[in-house]
Amino acid sequence: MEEKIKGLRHQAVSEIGAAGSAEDVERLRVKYLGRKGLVNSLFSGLSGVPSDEKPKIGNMLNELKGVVAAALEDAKNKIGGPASSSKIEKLDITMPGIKRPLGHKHPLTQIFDRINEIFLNLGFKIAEGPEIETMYYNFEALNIPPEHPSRDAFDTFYLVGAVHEPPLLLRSQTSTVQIRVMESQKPPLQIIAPGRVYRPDATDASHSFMFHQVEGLMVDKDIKFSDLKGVLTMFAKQMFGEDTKMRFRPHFFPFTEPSAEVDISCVMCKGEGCRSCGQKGWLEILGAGMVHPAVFEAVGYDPKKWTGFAFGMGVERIAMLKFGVDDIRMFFENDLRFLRQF
Amino acid sequence: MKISYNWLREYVDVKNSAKQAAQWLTMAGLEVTSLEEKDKDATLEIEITTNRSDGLSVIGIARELSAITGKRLKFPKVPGMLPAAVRDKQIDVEIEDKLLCPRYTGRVIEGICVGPSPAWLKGHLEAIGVRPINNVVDITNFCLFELGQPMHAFDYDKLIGRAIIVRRAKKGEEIVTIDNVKRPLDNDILIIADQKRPVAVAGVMGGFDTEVSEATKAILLESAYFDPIVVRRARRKLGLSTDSSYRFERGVDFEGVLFGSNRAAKLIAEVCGGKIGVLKDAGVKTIKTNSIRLSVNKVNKILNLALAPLEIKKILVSLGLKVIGAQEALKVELPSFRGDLKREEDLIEEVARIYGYEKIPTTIPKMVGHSERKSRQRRIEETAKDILMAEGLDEVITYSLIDAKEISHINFTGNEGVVAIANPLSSQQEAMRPSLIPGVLNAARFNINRKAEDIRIFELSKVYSKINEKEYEEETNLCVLMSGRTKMGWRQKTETDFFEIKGALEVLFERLGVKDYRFVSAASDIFYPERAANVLVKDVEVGIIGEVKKEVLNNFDIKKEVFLSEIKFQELIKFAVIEKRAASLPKFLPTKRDISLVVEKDVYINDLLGAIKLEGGIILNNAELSDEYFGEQIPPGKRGLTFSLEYLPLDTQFTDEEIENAHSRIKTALVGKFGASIR
Repeated sequence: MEEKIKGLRHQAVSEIGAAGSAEDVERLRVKYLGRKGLVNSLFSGLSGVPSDEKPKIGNMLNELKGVVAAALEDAKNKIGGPASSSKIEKLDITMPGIKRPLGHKHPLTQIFDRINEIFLNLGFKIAEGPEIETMYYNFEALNIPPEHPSRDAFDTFYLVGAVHEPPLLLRSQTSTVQIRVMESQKPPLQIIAPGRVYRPDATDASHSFMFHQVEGLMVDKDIKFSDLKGVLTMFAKQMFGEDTKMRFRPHFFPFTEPSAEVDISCVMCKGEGCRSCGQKGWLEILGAGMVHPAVFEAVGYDPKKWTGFAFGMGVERIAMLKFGVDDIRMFFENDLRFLRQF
Repeated sequence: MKISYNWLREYVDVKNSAKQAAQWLTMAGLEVTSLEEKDKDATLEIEITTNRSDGLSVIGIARELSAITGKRLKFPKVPGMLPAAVRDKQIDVEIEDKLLCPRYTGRVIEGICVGPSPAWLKGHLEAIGVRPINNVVDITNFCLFELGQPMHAFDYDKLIGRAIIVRRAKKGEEIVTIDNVKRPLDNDILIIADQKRPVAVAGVMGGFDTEVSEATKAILLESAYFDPIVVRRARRKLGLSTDSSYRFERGVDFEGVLFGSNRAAKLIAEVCGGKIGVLKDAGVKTIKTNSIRLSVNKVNKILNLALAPLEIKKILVSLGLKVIGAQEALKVELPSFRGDLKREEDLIEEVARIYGYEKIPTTIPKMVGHSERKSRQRRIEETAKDILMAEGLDEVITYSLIDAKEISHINFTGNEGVVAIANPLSSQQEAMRPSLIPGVLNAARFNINRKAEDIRIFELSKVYSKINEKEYEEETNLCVLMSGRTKMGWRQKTETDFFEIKGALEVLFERLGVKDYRFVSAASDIFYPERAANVLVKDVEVGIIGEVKKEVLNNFDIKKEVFLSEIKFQELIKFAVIEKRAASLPKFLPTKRDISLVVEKDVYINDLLGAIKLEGGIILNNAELSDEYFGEQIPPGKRGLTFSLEYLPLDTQFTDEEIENAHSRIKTALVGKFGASIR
């Protein structure tokens, strides 16, 4: 038996070593290692071997199988390898690679995603609300009284439909979501509300009758103005870069008190003053403030117990600054030459 | 508001540059939006927020600058009472509605000489871009900008009767205003009338007939407080916004009514040489001053500061507020010129803005710790966008307000549910879209016109509908559009067809874990009926797909083939399974076999596959169409097909025989049921 094994090993190695084509190698594989091949037939002879020799012979057979397999592998590599490389056609490797088409997310979606990500990491959750709204949610609950000059900043589209008195409207700000969330949930709260808003403004390079905002609201037992500054500073540095400077200016919004407008150092000139920032060195990016007690009263929160801050920013404005786009209409024209840049 | 820096410095002794002052004002909430320096003066354009009517005057801004810098405010010196020097000409004043006009003062000034203003007066007005007219009008304008109190001078001798009345206009009344425009009046508009006719629109503009001219010898000087809302209504109704209406709408200083009259009368007497006559002061003489209790602790808590009571007091006093007490609780009495201060928080803002927002620390609040941060729908929307993008589709965002005629252009049925806008700026904003299709078709046309050849776009956004007069619905739809060709560099360009857009949806469905979806031929108003299908998931219709018919494309001026699908995304995701579970991998390797056959063209692939799967039984792991071909070997009217089959043993290795048996069963069935010939 031992002799047989040695003999077959010798024979196999020399025959395989002489193989000149892939077909030869395959034929030899079947001859030696096939189901009815020579190696297997030796394995079937194992039953006739005395039991004390069985382990040794078994090992030899396994070794034989390994050697033959290795020889076949070598032969295969030799045939397909560098020795016969003359058969391989030379490529013009300067031809362009085959690019599978990969689409583009709209630049506004990308900015939304980034803003959301930053605030999610700061512990905020995303809330949403309807675009078709009532006067109450858009104005009164936000402490914007009827016939007040502060309403002039919020020109509004109204719906046709006589049943509603006062009429329904398209929300002119995402602050409506603040009210809806506070009406339905108890404090503490930490939400952002990304969404679409409408104002009947004549369209030009910096105005659009439809645009997008992200609103933020945080309410807890001991929220301070300094927290508002902290959260918005974290946001601006992540959005516009670590070296971004910030400036909080007092301002007026009916639904916050104290209120602030927030500027960042100009992304173009780093605060030196240029055309983009009107030589001021600063760019206004959002409005914010401590939630007005009248707003808390409107939703049934006790302003003595809870304090909070709110902020709102225009997504197009931020996208224009981030991407260097100077005409808001580009976002809604959907020119593929534009969209495919992002 | 425009302001001259030199004029401003007449009231507050600030020596710093205009640029520095602009910076201070901006950081105190009076944003200087432009600064122009010339002729040793500077013009500042200041944005005064709607709550700060006191900031609409030089004095008001001087008061701010005084609070910021600590320099003393120098108020113009005017006697509290100006006794009448003559009493020849008399006038009566009557207020009909004291809610709309709580106070009206009328003062006669006689013997004046109307003419050009002196240089100092002209200079002040010209510095802020106001055109000088004559000395009387210029003085009322000067006082308007100086004090924020709008005033009007009537030519006394042109008033009919010796009494004026402040009342609502009657329907049918008219007035020709100073700008020589005839304006119809109505009951919503407050007017000043003499015994015959309206002579001024209260708080907005005076009348042409009683205007002061070179011939005027005596005037009636009006200084009053008109209700902000009635002035606002008149301004909007007449479409006439003036420096006067702008201030009344925001609320003028009640105590400034008489002060303004005194200031103007004194200047008129000095400049125009007249004698001050009788003052009629109708209505309320004074209003109650309110006070607010301010907690020092609360100021420090909200602002995260540690200010002493006296520091807070100093700031408030510098703004012209009266503060009583010097401990934790301060009583703050509000001056009449700060109608915006109503609550404790308003005072906290005053402290903060004068102290400086930049000096308030920056802290990070403790997280609230919401568990669910995103809704299921939002998460699936984000995933869907990623999948669609990976399929080579570009995302578009189109307007949700559209032209109503575009809704009919897609043969939309259900017009009664379309949401209409009452006040669109143009026909392009008259309706809320009930479908994403018009917007996406417009985006396609825009790009086709710019020679784009490979248009593969999608929009995932809201559509709107009216359920009934009270209920409206906003739902999220997905619209996918393909037109032109798909390019894979130089190797492959394929003309887009129905199956490409179908495949895009199938990949989306599979990746979202939507199973049991079907495409079923369906009638359509927008697609060619031969190339239209409804998309069903478990027998629920979730959308439509097809090739847009020419009639619709013509409406959108598109001259290329367009394939499109609109899916009710919210319906679709009811079937989505986004939580994945691992299945164990098969123990054995599969065996692959093909079947090629020829069948009549009208045999459906779905039916053939159904038969294959039925006959293949449990060992048939998968069967799919791998080729469709026509050509010389295929008789006309027939199609050549190849299916790739994959057999997979379940528990034990199976024999070639088992596969052969299954395979021939399948062939027999295809021949028997569908008249196929196996090749």
